[in-house]
Amino acid sequence: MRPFLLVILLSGCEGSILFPGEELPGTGGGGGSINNMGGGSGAGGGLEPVLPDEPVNSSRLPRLSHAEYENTVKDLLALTAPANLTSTFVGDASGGTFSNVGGELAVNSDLWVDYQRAAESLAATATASTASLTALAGGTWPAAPDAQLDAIGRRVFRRALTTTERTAYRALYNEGPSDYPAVTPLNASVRVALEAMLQSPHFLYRPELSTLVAGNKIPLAQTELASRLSYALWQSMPDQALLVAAEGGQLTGAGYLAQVDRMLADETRMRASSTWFHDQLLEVARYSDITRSTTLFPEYSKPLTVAMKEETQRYVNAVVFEEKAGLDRLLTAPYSFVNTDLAKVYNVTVPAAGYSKVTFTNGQRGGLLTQVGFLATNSSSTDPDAIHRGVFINHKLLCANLPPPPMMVPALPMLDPMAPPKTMRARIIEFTGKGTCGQGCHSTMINPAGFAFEHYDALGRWRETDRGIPVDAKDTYAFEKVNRTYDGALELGKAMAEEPMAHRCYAGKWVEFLFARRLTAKDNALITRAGKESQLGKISVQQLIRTLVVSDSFSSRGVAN
Amino acid sequence: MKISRRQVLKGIGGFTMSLPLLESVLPREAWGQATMRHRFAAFIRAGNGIVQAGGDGGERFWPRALGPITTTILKDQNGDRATSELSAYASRLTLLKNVRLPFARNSCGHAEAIPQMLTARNHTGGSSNDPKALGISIDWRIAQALNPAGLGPLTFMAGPQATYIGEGLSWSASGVRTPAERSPANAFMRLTGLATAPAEVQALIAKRRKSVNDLVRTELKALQQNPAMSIADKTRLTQHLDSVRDLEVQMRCDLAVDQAAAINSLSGPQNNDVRVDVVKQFANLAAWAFNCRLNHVVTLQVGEGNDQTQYTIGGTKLPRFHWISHRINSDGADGTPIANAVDLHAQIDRLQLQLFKHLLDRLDSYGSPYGGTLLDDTAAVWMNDLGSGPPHSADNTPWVIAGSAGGALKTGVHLDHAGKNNNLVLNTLLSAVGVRKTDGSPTDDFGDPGLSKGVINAMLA
Repeated sequence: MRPFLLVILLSGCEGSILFPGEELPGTGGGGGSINNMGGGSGAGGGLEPVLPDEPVNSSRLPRLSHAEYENTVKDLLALTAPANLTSTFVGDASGGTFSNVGGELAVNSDLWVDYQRAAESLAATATASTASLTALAGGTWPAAPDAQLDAIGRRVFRRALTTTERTAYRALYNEGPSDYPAVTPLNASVRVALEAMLQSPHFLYRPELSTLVAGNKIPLAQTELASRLSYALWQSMPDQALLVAAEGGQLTGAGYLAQVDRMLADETRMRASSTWFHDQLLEVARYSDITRSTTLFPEYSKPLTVAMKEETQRYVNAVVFEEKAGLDRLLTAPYSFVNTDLAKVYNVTVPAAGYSKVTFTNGQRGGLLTQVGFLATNSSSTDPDAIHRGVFINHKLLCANLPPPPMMVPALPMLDPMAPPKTMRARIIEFTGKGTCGQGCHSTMINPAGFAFEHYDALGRWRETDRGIPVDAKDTYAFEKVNRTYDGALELGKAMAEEPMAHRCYAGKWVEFLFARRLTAKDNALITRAGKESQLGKISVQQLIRTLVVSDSFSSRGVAN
Repeated sequence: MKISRRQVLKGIGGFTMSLPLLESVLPREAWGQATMRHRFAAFIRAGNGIVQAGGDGGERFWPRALGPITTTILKDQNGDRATSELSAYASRLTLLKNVRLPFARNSCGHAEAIPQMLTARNHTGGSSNDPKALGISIDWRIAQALNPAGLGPLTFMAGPQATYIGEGLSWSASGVRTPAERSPANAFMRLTGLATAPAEVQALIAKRRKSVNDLVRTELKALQQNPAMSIADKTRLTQHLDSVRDLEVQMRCDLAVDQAAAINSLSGPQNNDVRVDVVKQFANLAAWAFNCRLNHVVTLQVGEGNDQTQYTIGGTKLPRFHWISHRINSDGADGTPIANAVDLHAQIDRLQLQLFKHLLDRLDSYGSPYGGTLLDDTAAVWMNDLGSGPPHSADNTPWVIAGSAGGALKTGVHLDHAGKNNNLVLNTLLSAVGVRKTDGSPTDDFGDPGLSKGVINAMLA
């Protein structure tokens, strides 16, 4: 292997995510990114001033995603398994990396019918027995109707009912016996009130209505903060301890940190959260679409696509929760979890049953990016797709600011059957490399990232040759202020693990997920700070999450956009 | 405690379903007025372009000549063209070639073409795969005019939920994408509600839901009036508020036994191998919903933005359609060639029009109270958001309209739009189904205000 080279970047596409309509400080009119903010710290940087966090004036009415709804009703009714009601809901429109961008989720006439039907079903279940009523109320069933409504409403709305609300719901409660004459008056009353609560905007959304300005920010009300925190970490409603703390005004200072640490320590919930995040970031759902000819790829089978997903999830869990490590290990840890289907691709031997931890010692594998799922997803049916592999890395893992591709991209010219064979890399370079119309970003960013994976074929198998010619996996990527040269995917992964660009990108993705919104330029200070902790401090993913949710940006709103 | 999905799905049980959906709130335009003719609009979208002149495979789609078309012309003189699949409906068709999408595409052609199709609006652009339309789409405009208050259009998609480019035809407001239902069973359940119930039970349900809805409306309005809410949040609240409807359970309307059975028996509706069946089932539901006056407008997106379906034709499962449209085994530019890709693409074009014909057959199977059939009351539109396969152009998208929307459209004709913009098509369709200006004159200004106004006079009767 060759040592990395640090070269001054002279030109080319640079930076990362743009924020529509906003111009970043110091970037002039040329657009900016989370990665060219904060003085552009290179490896070993740290002299630039630490900028204060800037809270964002995001939607005051983020709607629960379907996953959040499912988790919430499970916790609210103390179900032992998900109700699976959202499987019949109209799906939320696709778009963006994560499905929980609440300010973009709306309720149309179809979804309203779905919510109505689900509310009626859930209310019937919740009022079916004394035990279910008690669970709904949070463990103790009060005798007085108003107290019953208070107990239920507090958990459904994730805050105490107002007097006006209690009066309104009491009126419905009183109508219950005539609405459901076949059940007991108590069950009927609670049932109709709960039906309404579960269709209320105060349940379906997470309203953040605080307006009290403190300096340049609007601190969230305690119960608003509890909800934001709970949905960020657990994708569900606050539990009793968090709600009690919020109601007691304890979500400040050490009290808030204690709640954060308590919730982070719930490994079951945090594993689910981490899996949900990484599945969406890495587009793991696409693995199931992979098909290959078994003539060309005898190792392919449908169960292999299931194993790809399982491998990635087990690997992420191992790095995050067993190693308690961060992005650098996600990109470089030299092991994975392999069953017999995957073993055929990796050319290793494993026990017949289940998944075994395999440590790779032959220099061919290590980190997320040499796993079959990523490699095969970003391939055609016959050839590895260096361009899409490169675009994925630039967009998802480096947040590189790639200009859009040209509108119409003609296919590579047909091969002349009489000409000497060429590798796919050679053909791509001819088509997109220096001196071509694709020179700008392809030659410095897309192709170099993709070419690092030349040793992996369309199914992710290791190969030494392409069309009989030894593969060339060497290249140089234009990171922010340096070019880094590498030979192969392992060296690229190591380079990325060392570069602030990747760490800021990863931190930014977590901001999107935890804050349930898209990024804005105001997020740069926080992302730069968190990225630096991840890069230089090698903090764990758990610590990175902690850094983000204890920030001012998380606990406050911006005064105005 | 567990909740069975059956508790929610119990409404799907029988083969014939009673409907709870005669709306108690009158539509803005004469839902209940016998003198106002009901008109309907259905939009089916295919992706990846077609094989037509200007592409790499020559003309394989349109008939040879412009002007009048008959069954004989389509079937006998143009049997080698995809539109011959619709020859049985020749006299009720308008073939419209060379429709331009007006806003330059700077990024992914698929992602940026779809939002324009039914909006004639610009989009947010950028390098992402989810640009948003900057205005309302025609299906919402029709729904707002012809449906009961708050009842949006039917929005269907035959395709996977997790995909690179998802649904993009329907927009309730600028930047607000309408999620598409992927499951015919879910759509059926939503349309039919809680199925058969005795009248006294139905009355109780209606009373209780009314009380609940009143309270929810009060809460929504209070939030809407909160001065701290942004315009975007208020827009979402308005849509939510409009969606809260009081429904009565009064009308019976049956879906054919075989169609209901097919819906109940289909599993995995997002799977590739049932894609064609799902399109047909959504078409069945759309026609049935029109006939029962459950809705006046539907969009059906076939496949994701860059349709990756592996269609089966003649017993052979083809490569992904998107790859075929690129002529190589790849979504990009680097891949091995697909043998006979142009032929395969042309075969898929025929399949897409066969699916459109299925919708026409269903619409034509229902009688119209005004004479003729439901198809005659409808403007059924098939379109593709790209022109040709390579080079994925957007200057010459194909549109095929069937039905006269109650006699408002001329039919039996093949027209060349000559690269003019799609807003003119949308204006014409809006006017045909009865969505006109307050003085009764045709709508001529739908879409981006910077586009030239007007209708296509050659299409209007």
